[in-house]
Order: sequence, then structure tokens, then C-alpha cells
Amino acid sequence: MSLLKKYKWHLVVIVGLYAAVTLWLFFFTDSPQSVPFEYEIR
Amino acid sequence: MRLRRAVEIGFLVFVPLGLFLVGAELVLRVYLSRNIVYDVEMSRYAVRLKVDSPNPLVGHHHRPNAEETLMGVPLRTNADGFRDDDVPIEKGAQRRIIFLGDSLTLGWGVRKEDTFEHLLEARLSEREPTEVLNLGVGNYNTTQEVNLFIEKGAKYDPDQVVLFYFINDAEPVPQKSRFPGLGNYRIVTFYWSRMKALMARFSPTTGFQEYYAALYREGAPGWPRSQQAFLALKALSEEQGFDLRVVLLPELHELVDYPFAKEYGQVADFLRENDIPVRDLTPYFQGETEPQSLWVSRDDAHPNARAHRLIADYTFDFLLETE
Repeated sequence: MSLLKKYKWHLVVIVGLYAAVTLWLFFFTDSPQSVPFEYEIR
Repeated sequence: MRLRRAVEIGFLVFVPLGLFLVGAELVLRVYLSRNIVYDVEMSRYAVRLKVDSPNPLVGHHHRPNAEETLMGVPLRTNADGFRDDDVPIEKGAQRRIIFLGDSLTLGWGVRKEDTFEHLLEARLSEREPTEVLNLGVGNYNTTQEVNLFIEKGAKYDPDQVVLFYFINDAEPVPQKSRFPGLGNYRIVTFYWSRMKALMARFSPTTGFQEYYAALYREGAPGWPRSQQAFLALKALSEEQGFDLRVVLLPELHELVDYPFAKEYGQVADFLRENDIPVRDLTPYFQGETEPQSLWVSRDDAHPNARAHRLIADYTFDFLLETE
């Protein structure tokens, strides 16, 4: 709990950074299909 | 003191990561309840409908009697795992045809009644009562298609077998993922999918053109295996007395100046050399200047209902050539 209090703003910034990278990835790669049909997830 | 520092670093690495992953998974699930994303639907397909086959040459097949909505359309399988109604093994008076293929033949992303299999069955039946069985399974290559036929299709004693070939059918048999939870978490699928797209953007060798062309180069293992599978099916057709033919389905990114003309020429030459009738549909699609109008969705280049109708139109007379 003490760590949470001490690093509260660190946590907010790091989570925000992850979210920003994810949003960038989401919009930057939002294009018509450009990779082969692939179904590695089985 | 050192321990305390390690705990603090661990806290700053894992707690925000955990918080982010849980939050992102929730946000994505809300987003996906209103939007369809191809890669997510494919991972749902893998988890909900595919099961491992004990036969390594088949790899996987569909769960029997399963039902799932994928890409916004219902996909129901029969007792054999085919996207079809149950049919008695004993053949009636009607002509019986089996279609072999991958997700394109399965009708990924289109309703059953819009698939070329269904349309051809209806049109053929106007001339003569005809029953078409759809053995298409997503992710299949030629080896798997032929072995599924041997395992589950041959017992139906077809009069004709049509293998619908796609450019990636020369891939090696796909291996099961080493990461078992991959298909269950949307955030993992999202990152996997978007990282591939990112790589394709910066490195042309990871794009579809290079990938598909490489399947047919000297030394690539898949194409020789496809050839063996074709020959095995040809031998079976002679043994069992059914008519065998192959239809080459176009890749729908560029149709005016088709980038895989050389590879399809290679496939067609091999089939003709071995007396297997073949029709390449690519030239029939050359007038399609806006190929995306034939796609299931912007992020999925599988043929949509209009493309299925065209495939049915261009294939119809080819199936009658035996008469």
C-alpha cells in the first residue's frame, strides 16, 4: 500500500504510456489487409 | 536495502503492466461487441470450431455439430464437421459432388446461402438433381484437403470432386500454436495482429506478395507436398471412378495485373501434365478494377457474397464438361 502511495503518479504515467503506444498502433496500422492470410492462433 | 529496491522495481514493472492489460482487455471487448475485427474472428474460429485431428496430415478439422457466429454470419457444422447439412452416406438418385478447399470454399464471412457451393448446387440442380458437399476448412493446404477427403469424404462415393485451390495452399501443414492462451485474450490477438501489420509496413518481405510467391520457389517445402497430394487424389479418382477437377481461385488484392500469374501458371501446368482438368479463374476477374469491393471487409480479403456469385458463374460450365 505504501508503494502504491509513493509511486501513484509513476503508475499513472506508465499506464498512460502503454495506452498511448497501443492507440498509436491501432490507428497507424488501421489499413486494408496487407499481410497473408495466417492462422497461427490454433 | 537491495531487496527493497528490487521490490520497488518489480512493482513499477509488473503492476502498471497488469493494470494496463486488464483495462485494455476490457476496453477491447467493449469495442469488439460493436465492431468486427478479422484477426479476432479468426482466433475465435480457432478456439470455438477447430479441433485437433489425430491424423497429422489433416492437422485439425471442425468440431462436429457446432454453431458459432463469425464475421457476423452464422457458421454451423454437421456431424462430420462440414459446413453443410447432414446427408446420408448412401447416395440417392442425384449426382453427388464434393468440394475441397480452405476458408474460401468454406465461405468464410458469407452466409451459407451466398457461398459458391450453395449457388452452384442450386444451379446444377436445375439441370439434374445435384447434391454438393462442402468440405472446406479454414487454414487447409492441399495435403490436408486431400487427407480430409480420404478420411471423411470418400465414403460418400462422389461422382465428382472439385478442389478449389488458393495461392496459399502450398503452405506447409500449420502447427499448433506454442502459446495455448493466445486465442482467449483479445489484447494478445490485437498485439499479434497489429505487430504483423506494422512489420509489413516497414518490411516488404513480410507482406502478402513476397510471402505467397516464396511458397513456390525452389526449395520451398509446401509446393512439392501439394503436388504429391494432387497425384494421390488423381490416383484415388481413377480407383474410385469419380471425375476430378481443380479450380484456381484468385487472390483478391490486385486483379488487373495479377501478381501471381507465374505461380498459378506453374500450378496449372503441373495439373495439365498430369491430366487433371483445371480452370484458372484469375483471367475472369481481370475487369475488376476495385478489388476491395470483392472483400468480406476492409481488413479481410476473403471473397464476399458478390465474389462468391462470380466464382459460381465462372465455374458452372466447367463442372459440366464431363457430361
